[in-house]
Amino acid sequence: MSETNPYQELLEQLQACESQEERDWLSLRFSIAQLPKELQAAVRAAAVPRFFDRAFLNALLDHPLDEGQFAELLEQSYIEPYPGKERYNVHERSRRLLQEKLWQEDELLYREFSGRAFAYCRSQDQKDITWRIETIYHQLIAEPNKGAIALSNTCIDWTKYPSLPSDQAESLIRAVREHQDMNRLPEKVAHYFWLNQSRVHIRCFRHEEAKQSLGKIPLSHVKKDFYLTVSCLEYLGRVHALFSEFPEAELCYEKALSRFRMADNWLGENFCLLGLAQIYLALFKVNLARRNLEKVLMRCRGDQQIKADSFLGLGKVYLVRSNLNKAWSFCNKALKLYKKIGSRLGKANCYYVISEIYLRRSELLKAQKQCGEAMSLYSKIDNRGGEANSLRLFGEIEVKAKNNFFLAQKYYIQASTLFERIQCWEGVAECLEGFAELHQAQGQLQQAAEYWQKAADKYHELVMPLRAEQCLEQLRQMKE
Amino acid sequence: MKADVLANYQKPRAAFARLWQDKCSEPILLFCGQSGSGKTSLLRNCRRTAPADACQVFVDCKQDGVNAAEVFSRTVHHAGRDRLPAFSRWLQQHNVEIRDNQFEGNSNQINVFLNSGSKEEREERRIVLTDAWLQDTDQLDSPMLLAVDTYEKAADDLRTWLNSIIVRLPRASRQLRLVVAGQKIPSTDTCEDWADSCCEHTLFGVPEAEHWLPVVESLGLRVPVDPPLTYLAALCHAFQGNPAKIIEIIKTFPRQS
Repeated sequence: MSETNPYQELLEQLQACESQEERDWLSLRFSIAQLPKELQAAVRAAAVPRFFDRAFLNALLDHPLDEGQFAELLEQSYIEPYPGKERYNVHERSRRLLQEKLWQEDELLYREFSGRAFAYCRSQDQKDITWRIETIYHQLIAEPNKGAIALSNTCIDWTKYPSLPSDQAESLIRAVREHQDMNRLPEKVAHYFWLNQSRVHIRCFRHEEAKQSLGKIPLSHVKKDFYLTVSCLEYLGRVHALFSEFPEAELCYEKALSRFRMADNWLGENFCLLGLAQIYLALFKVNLARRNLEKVLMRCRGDQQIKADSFLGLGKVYLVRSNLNKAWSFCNKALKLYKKIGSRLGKANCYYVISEIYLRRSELLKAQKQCGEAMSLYSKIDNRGGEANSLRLFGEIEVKAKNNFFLAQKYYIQASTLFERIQCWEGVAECLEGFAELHQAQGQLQQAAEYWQKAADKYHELVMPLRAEQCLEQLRQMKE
Repeated sequence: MKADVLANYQKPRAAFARLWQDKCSEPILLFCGQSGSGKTSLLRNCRRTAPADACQVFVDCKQDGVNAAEVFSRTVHHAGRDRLPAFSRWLQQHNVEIRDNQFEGNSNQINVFLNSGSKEEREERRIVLTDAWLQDTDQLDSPMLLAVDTYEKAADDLRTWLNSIIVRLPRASRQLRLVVAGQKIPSTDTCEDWADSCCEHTLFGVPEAEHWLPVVESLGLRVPVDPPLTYLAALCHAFQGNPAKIIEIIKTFPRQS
C-alpha cells in the first residue's frame, strides 16, 4: 500500500476549502504542526501579546524556551521584528487567526495567557508607554472591570492637557480596539472602550466620530453604572452643543443632572447646570440661564473654577440684556478668579466677552485689543471654536468702525470657514448675520435682506426660534 | 535585519533602484498592499540593497507613540550631528542637548522640546526644525533614505507631518528619498504637485510558480510533490499569490538531500 503524501493531501484540502480564511487557517495549522510540541505551544502563546521578547514569551509558557528553541521560533515565516530591541510579533494575519481559534476553542487558556502577560507587563516600567499600553491590553482580558478603570484613568491622563500630543492616547485606543473588533470585551467593558474612544476623538477634534462612538453605548442598558452613564451623557451634551444640536444637548445635560442629584453629587450637578446655562444663553433663554448660574453660585462651596464660570455666565446674561455695567462687573470678577487659578481658557473667554462689551459701548479700539488678546489665547490652547468666534467678532468690530469693509468680509469668511470645519452651525448662522450687517452698513439692502433671511432659516433649522425671530425682526426694520 | 527571501516584485525593486540614480525624478516611492502581500519583506529587501553610504532612517508606525521627534532623533543617530549642522545648531540655540549615540535619550529631548509650550510655539518649532532637517538632508554628501512601514497605523500627528514632508520633498531636498509602505498610503489624488515626483506600486502578490521555485532552492529545500512547478502553481492558485501564505508552506518543505 502506498503512503499518502501529506503535501498532496494539504493541497487537496486547500482546494476543497470554501473560503480564503479557511485556507489560511489550514496552512497555518499545517505549518505549526511541523514544529516540536514546545514550539507549537509557544506560537499559540506568542499570538496573544502585541509583541514579545524571549523573557516576555517565557513568562507566558509552562515550559520556557531555551535560546535554540527561541531562535527556531524566530525562523518561522509568520514571526517578524517588532519595533524595539529584540522584540518580535506574530504577523498580523496569522496572529488574528491564532487568536480567533484560541478564543473559540480554549477561552480559558487565552485568559490564562493574558493573566500571565498582565502580571509580567505590570512588573515592567509603567512610564514607558509601550509597557503601559501592553499592561492595560492584557488587564482588560485578565480582570476586565479593573482593566476598564485603568483604561479610563490612563486615557484621561493622556488627553487632559491640550498641549500634549495625542499619539499616546491614540496608540492605546488602537491596541484596545483589537479586543473590541474580535468581540473579546464583555459588554460593559466594551462600553468603556467606546467612552474612551470618544474621549480621544474629542481631544483630536474629531467630534463627528466622537458622537458615533458615544452612540454605541446604549444608555438605557448602562443605568446601573453611574460613572459610565454620567460620563457618556456629559460628553454627549458637550458634542451636541458643539454641533449646535441644542435640544439634544439640553436633554443629555438634564438626564445627567437628575442622576447627579439622586447621587447627591454637587460637583456633577454644578457642571450640568453650567452646561445648561450655556445652552440657554445660545437659545436666548436668558432668565433660565441666570437662574441656573445663580444656583451654581450658591452651591459652589468655594470651588474657584465653578465660581469663575458662573460669574462669566452672568456677565454674558447681562450682556444679552444690554446691562453693560453689570456685564462688565461680572466679567471682571471672573477674570480675576481665572487669573488666580491660571485658567487660560477662562481668561480667553473673559477677554472675548469684554471685547463684546466694548463693542456695544462703541469703544472700538479697546474692543479690538481685547479680541486680539482672546484670539491669541484661544490659539495657544488650540481652541478652534474660540478662534472662529474671535474672527467673527473682529469682523463685527470692523463693520461698526465702517472703515474697512473688505477686511470685515475677510474676517467673516475666515470665521465661517472655520465654523463649518468644526461643524459649529450656530457660529455659521452668526456669520450669516455678520454678512447681513456688513451689506446693510454699505447700503446693499438687497444682499443684506438675503443674508438676514438665510440666518433666520439657519436658526430655525437649529431649533433656535428666538434667534431666528431676532433676524426676521432686523429684516422687517430694514424694509421699513 | 532579518534576511528575507523575496519572489519577484521586480518592478517595485527596480523603482527602488532608480531612487539612487544621479538624476532621480521620483524620490517618493509608495508600496500599497493587503496584509500578507509582502510589503514589509519588500521594504526590508529594498533597504538591504540601498547604497552602502546612504543614511537610512526606518520608522515602523506599529510602534506606540512614534512621531516626528522619533524620526529626527533617528536621523541624528544614523547621520551624526556633524552632518546635520542647521538642525543641531537650532537645537543647541534652544538648549536642547543631543548626542550622536543616544537614540532614545535624544528622542525624549526633542519630544519634550517639540511638545511644550503653546500650540503656536509647537507648530513653529516643528516647522523650523523640519526646515532645518530638510536643509541638512539636502546638503548631505550621500543620499538619505526615510523608510516608513505600516503607514495605516500612523497616528494623526505623524501622518500630518509625513504628508507635509511629501509635499515639500521634491523641491526641498535633493538627497532625501522617501519610501512608504502600508495597507493605506498617502493619496496622490490630493496633490498634483508631488504626484509627478512619486512612483506608486500596488502589490497584488506573486501568483506565478516560476518565481517561487528559485525561492525554494535558495532556502535549500525541495518541492515534495512532482512535478514541482505544477505543485507550486496549484499552491499559488489556492492562496491567490499571497506571499505570506505561500512562504508559510514552502518553509515546511523537506531539505534537499
